[in-house]
Amino acid sequence: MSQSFLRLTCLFLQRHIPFLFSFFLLLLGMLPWRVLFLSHFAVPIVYASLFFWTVFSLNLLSPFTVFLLGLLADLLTITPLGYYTFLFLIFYWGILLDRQFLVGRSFLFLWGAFCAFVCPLIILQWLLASLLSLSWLSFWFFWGQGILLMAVYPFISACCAFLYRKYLED
Amino acid sequence: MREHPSRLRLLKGLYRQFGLYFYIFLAAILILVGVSKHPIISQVRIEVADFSVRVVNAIYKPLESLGYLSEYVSEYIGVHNENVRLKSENQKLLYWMRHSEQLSQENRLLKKQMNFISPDSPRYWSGYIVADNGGIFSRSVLVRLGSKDGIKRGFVALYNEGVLGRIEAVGSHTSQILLLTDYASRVPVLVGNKRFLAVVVGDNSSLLKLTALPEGAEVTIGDYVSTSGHSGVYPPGLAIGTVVRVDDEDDIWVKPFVSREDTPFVTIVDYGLDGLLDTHTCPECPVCKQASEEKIQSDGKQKRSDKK
Repeated sequence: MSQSFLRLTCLFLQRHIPFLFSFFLLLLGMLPWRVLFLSHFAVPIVYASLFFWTVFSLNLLSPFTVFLLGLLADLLTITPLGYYTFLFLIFYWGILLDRQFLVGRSFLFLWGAFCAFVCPLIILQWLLASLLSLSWLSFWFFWGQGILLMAVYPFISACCAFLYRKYLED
Repeated sequence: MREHPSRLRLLKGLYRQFGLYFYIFLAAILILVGVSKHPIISQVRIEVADFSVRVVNAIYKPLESLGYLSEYVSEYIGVHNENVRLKSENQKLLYWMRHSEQLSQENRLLKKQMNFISPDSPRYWSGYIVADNGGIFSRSVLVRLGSKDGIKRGFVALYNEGVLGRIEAVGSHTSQILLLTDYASRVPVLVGNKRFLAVVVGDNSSLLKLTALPEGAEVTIGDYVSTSGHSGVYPPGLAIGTVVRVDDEDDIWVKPFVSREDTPFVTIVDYGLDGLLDTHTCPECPVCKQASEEKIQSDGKQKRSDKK
């Protein structure tokens, strides 16, 4: 009985690795790092995780999971409700449209593709943020966010790949 | 009976095909709901934060220990220079201590002569900042003190006698501090030796904008800015910052004494002020109505117990 419960729990955790890892990144960004503006870059790191799991393990990352992640990001950071939910889903949708070209490609190709996805996303994020705050926000701040995101992709991708190989490849 | 599985299959097929669009639509609806800034949303936020802070804490503990270790090593390396600095600082402090003792004695005597009745002494709590949940739209942090500790909305958050912000939302174990630099922050202040009345406004950057100065007010770089006490949220005389930039009459910037990056913990102070406007702004909504009634009842009870 207890063994089967343990197995079920393991299976449950295994099936939710993409969600749990992305949520972990979200929480990691919330830590009081005491570094200027770092909190502003906290949530976007989740995009890197979303990209990896959408390409490599789509069956474990449903639209509902992405919706839930976005909602949690909205609630945990003081952003207008729906802001990250909408952006996460649009990003997910974009990757889904081109997923067949991304599967089975090299790391460098995927990194380049990620950068290509991030550029329009940054513009959309800036437009939506400006619309919600009813003023033109500094575009350079969002651009900085995008560059940081492109720079951290290899690290996040390596973590995801490690989890994928260890728990999901079979 | 036969129709049931096929309907289910149809629904599943529809969900598979249009599920993503449905969620995108739902997210757009959420944005519209979020724009309304209903008080329930902020309550849900703080409840979620309350829960997640426990998880964050578990992650942060080992990282915090690593931070302390690196701090310890760097302090050990600079111990000689630090010692020389501290010795000279100690001389200055001893002088100021004697001076302050003289002044406080003089103050006591004058109060006695004037028959001055002191206001109630404020209540204090100290707590660690456990999460930084600000972003593009706001500047705020979470402190590990909540309603179970007696924290209420509107209490003032200080660090080293300088203002960091005020409590905006309270969960059972966690409270959200709205920083002075937040877009929604407005604090009436006194500027410089001539004590011009003005308002400092946050703009989500590290500086505060000085607005609503009286006509002809002369403000120079280095002017001291402190709370005026007009809002009924902050008592008068709390240190806010100094003027660091005067570009023209309408473009004056203040650097706060306390910045988010320097504060590992804060002191929450209840000065007994209740000038903060209530968040319950929709009397028609049953949830808000009930919350408002509960608040009135609890305030009444508090006042009765205070009278007793």
